[in-house]
Amino acid sequence: MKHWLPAALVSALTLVPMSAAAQTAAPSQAQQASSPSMNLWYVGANTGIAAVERVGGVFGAEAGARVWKNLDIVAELAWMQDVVTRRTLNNASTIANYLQTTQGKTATSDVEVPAFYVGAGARWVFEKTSLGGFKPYAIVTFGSTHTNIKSTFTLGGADVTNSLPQYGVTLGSDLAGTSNNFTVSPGLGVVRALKSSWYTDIGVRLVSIATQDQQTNVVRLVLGGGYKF
Amino acid sequence: MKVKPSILLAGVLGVTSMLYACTSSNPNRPSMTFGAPLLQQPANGVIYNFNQQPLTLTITNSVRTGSDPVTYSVQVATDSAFTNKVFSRDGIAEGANGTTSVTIDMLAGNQNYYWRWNANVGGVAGAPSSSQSFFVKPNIVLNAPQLLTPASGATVNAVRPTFTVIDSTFTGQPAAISYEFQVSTSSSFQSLVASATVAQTSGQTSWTPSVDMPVATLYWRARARDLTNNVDSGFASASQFDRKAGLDLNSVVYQLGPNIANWPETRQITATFDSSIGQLCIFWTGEDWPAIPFPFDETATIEGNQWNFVQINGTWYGGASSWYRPNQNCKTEGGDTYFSDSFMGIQPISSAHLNPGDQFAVAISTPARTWPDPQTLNHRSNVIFVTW
Repeated sequence: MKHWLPAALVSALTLVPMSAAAQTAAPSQAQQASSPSMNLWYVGANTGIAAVERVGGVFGAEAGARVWKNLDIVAELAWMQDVVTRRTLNNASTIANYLQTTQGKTATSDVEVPAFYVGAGARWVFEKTSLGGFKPYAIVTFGSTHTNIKSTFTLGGADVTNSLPQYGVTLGSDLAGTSNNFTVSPGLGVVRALKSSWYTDIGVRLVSIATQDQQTNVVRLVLGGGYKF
Repeated sequence: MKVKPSILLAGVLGVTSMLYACTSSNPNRPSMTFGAPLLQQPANGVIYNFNQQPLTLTITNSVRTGSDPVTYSVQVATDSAFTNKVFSRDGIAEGANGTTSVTIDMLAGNQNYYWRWNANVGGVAGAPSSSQSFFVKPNIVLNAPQLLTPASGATVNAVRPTFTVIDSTFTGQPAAISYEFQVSTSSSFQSLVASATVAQTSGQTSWTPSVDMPVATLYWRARARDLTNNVDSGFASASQFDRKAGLDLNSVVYQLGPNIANWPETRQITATFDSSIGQLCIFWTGEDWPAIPFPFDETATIEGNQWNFVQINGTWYGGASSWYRPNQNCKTEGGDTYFSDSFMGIQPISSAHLNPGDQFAVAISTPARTWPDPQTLNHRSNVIFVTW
């Protein structure tokens, strides 16, 4: 396994010093189950579901590099279909009730908040642990989530979202607009090396977004894979 | 392959994300969503008298999704498009208990006004409320009436004198005008002897109290009132007069007999009157008067005449009525025909017609009905009032 650190230093740091041959020898088929989860660096993609108040889809991409022993530095992107919270939905209901009261017609509301997360961090793979061939890992990344709050209001069956000022409503940043929010995303998962240099990754992540007036916590179930170099 | 580029990329991504984390692309949006306030008072279309100003406008505070501070702005205009504003105010602090009020400046009368509010959050003005209107009536000014009679310093004998004012001048368009009369024994009018409000009549307006005025120095005043629009004038400056017992004989038009105003008053009388039969009984103390033969029947003797004084259209008319014999107190002339029987054909006193509760004056004197023949002492009693 190649490291960016000098080989002598790696030898000094690892529990079991490896010979130069062992460091460069390619793993055999029999050794796949116990071979490192990655060689040098990797790229992968994942999908799954993301749940806050509602459950939506999520698509992500990830890349990383082994920098020391079992430590990888990682960077990830994730698109989440809808991270709207109960509080945001309640705020929208408040305005819908106002419309209904003042206009004398049935009013409804809905909010959808797609989000895009970019972050970087680290992952520790428990290389010496095997759960049926899967190696567990812990990961944490820090970054920013771009949210786009999309509210919809109807009055008497007609969409009045774009004419709310006509009914005396002024939308605030809690129910409209985009923002970028600091995010921390810890997670746990397992990786398994597949044939050749492919791998599969199954995990759960918590994406905690510091949105306006509240913390939005998104639970991601990820299923993916990638290629290791 | 060296990994440094990946590390560098990861580091750049992380730092960039951190720097970009807390930005927002929501310019000109408040931090919370809110609705326009609801207009509460006055209700749409209320009509105000001019003197009900200044007016207070009240709203129900805005619905909102957060707890940020809210201030309000109000506008009042003469047109529904709010192009001609007559009053506006910003930065109105939100009131407690769910409502906010502001008292606006005096507005011109005879004008319809429109008003609306909007909320402000974080420097962002919200959508305005719907507008409502109210009307301010023309400015009505009533001037105090001029007091006419009793004149200041006058002496009044009538038990229930008539008070008269010259009708007030005014500006604007008042509704029906009335006059409030007040009579008091005090110039401060802290307590009243009598008061009433009567409808205006053309040119002058008069009022006669329904209670007797005390014999005293009295004060009276009056003011104009528009009860429909709740507009009053001030009271005219009070007028003082002396209410004295009896009748001013110098003011009487004598229709039968001489002017007895200057005859010596040598008897004091009390009297009763039964209008059902027209019987006047007069009891006296004082000087003895001589008896003489009755001019129309010398077998009888008479001492003098009863006198009647009655006010017709503000003028006192009097005359010597029944002859009475010595020690005779009561004379009867008929009920409804009392004056016509006493003063047959002499107008207007013979046509005088009084209603129950009305008053007229009586006295006795030495012979006077056919004066100067006969006559004796040419003395008289005091004059008192009796009630029909």
